[in-house]
Amino acid sequence: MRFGLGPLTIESIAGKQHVDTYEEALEQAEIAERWGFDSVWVDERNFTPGAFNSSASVVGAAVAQRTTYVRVGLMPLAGLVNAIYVAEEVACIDNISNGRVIVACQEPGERVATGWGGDASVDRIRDDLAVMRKAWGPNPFNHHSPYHTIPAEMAAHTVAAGLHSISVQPKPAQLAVPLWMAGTSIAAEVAAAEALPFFGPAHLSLEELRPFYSRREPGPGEIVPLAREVFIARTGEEAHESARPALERLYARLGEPADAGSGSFADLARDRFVIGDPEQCIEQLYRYQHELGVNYVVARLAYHEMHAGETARAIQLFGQAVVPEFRMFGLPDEIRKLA
Amino acid sequence: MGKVDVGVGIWSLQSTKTGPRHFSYLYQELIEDAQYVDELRTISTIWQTEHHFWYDGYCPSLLTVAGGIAAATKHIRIGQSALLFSQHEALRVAHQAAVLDQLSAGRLDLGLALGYRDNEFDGFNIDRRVRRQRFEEGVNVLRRAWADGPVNFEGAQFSVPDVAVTPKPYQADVPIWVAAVGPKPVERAARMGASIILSDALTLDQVRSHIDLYRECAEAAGTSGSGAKMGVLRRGWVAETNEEAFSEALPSLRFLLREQLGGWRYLVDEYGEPVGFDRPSELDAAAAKLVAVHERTIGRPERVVRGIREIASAGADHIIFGTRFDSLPRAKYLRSLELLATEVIPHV
Repeated sequence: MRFGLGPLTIESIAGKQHVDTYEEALEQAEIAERWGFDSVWVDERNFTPGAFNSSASVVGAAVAQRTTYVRVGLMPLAGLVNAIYVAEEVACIDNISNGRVIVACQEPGERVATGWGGDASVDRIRDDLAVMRKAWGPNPFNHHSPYHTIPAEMAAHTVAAGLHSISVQPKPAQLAVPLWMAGTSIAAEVAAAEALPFFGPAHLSLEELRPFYSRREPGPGEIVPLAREVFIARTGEEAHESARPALERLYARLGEPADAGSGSFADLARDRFVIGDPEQCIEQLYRYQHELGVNYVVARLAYHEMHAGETARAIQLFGQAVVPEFRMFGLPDEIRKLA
Repeated sequence: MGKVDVGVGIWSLQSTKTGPRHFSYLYQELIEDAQYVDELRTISTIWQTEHHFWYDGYCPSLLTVAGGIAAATKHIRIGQSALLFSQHEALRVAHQAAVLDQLSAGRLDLGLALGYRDNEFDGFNIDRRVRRQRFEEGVNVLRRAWADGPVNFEGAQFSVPDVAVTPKPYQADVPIWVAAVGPKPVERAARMGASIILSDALTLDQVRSHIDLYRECAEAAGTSGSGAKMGVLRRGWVAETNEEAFSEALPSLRFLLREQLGGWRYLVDEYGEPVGFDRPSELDAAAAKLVAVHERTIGRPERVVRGIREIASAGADHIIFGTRFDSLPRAKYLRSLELLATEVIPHV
């Protein structure tokens, strides 16, 4: 199993300057790299009352600069603008990071809900993916679909006359940028149609995730990723005491799941949040591995409601006490107990 | 002559025919350059430049790359000279600029231009003929997006519903700069109360008349109190002696002006018509004329101080010292930057 940190939320928190939250997020990325994580993830949300980070690209480039080894997980919203913009930004970040980018396109639910631009349909998102892949490929390309006309070959553009293709530059450092699809039913459908890893969101429970993960048998060695709310401390009580207020307020701000506010925290957390001491976290994560076939967990761990030191300790403890259990096949019990 | 700020530029991240590089090398070099100038402290701003679909990889995504610069630096302001705004979605730029401004703790100087290459508009399926309208509507979208409350904008080019953009920028008023070659964008910037960046294709007399034009228009539009900056892009190079500076920089400058600007049809003749490779003798003449303009900020520190003062006396209060020439050894341009920061700027 592999592990990532995030997706970083970087929202506005009462009592904290927003600018400090951005710096805190970059420090969390550095801490995750120090404690052996495989990746750090940045998503984007727009028009949110909590002022969540709204540009995966801008913060992704910053994470790429602050880290050296971890992969940089970018979660751009798909289906909203000409996909060339996203392709160009990803290529730049891939070069800043020297080839460490993974892209998990998100279905654009919230933005479409606001009535601004775009199209959240399966066809539109698949078309965006096609444009991005062509843009990252080595050859010039053209693309004509209901969603993209590349190049337009407008009569008014006399200097461009006769050019039937364009070449998006620069090219990414990687030969092929790893692509995943993040979201719920639309993302699962796109993932199945494109044979891409489906990246389930943190707010869905194990039962809710099951149908999305059973759509397709992953190929040999294929990544099966999942995002989870995770918080860890030396004791289960301590972990719950810290995580509960942070998660309750985060989910109130996110408005996800829709019934988040109606039940008790225990109901919300059950089969959804991974909270506890190392043993409890390991046990819960094994369930996702066994029942959904997950082999790549992106653990949030970083909650801006908490003191930055508390988050740093949790990232370290997760790296030392949970990750080895899943990564170090054959770890002798005597060494395992040292954690 | 009031206070003059000096920024440096313009980072394009090209892997050119004469200086081919792996792009990761170029992006790493940009980050290191940014850290270097950040530590020099007298240099106010690092400026980036944008093009799309250009054969040598010219950087297309300035605000994204600026995220990397912001994370690598603490003091220096980060500007675009310029982001080709008419080729972008204004609301996406609003989001990215706001995030960048937060990430950098208020160090964004957002420089915008119309864009002019047909190939770029064609690639984005945007009619070049609406670029002015897209620009003006787009600036409205930016300003509404960063103000309190919903955007709610209905235009011919952009339509943004009743949504509030979040997060807001760190700066209460993100400076907007408008890049200009001809008088039209100068007038546009003056009406908006925006700062201007005058092109490196302009002579000193043209700079003076553009700045005068700006002031007249700003007066007429009632925006003269906006605190707008009058910026000028000048190619420049500093070495210990004039001879050293000329021999290092002039061949690269000639190449840049003739081969690259010619290829872009960026240079214009006296009638405002683009001069490209199809008109080689006019291209040579246009390039030679510009070499004479930029030579005045190439030389030993004392000469460059005089050159910068000359531009400032035309009314400029921000000089973008364009010291990034293709295929010059990095140690040399870092030395040029150091001399600029320590021997030129303190004496301007």
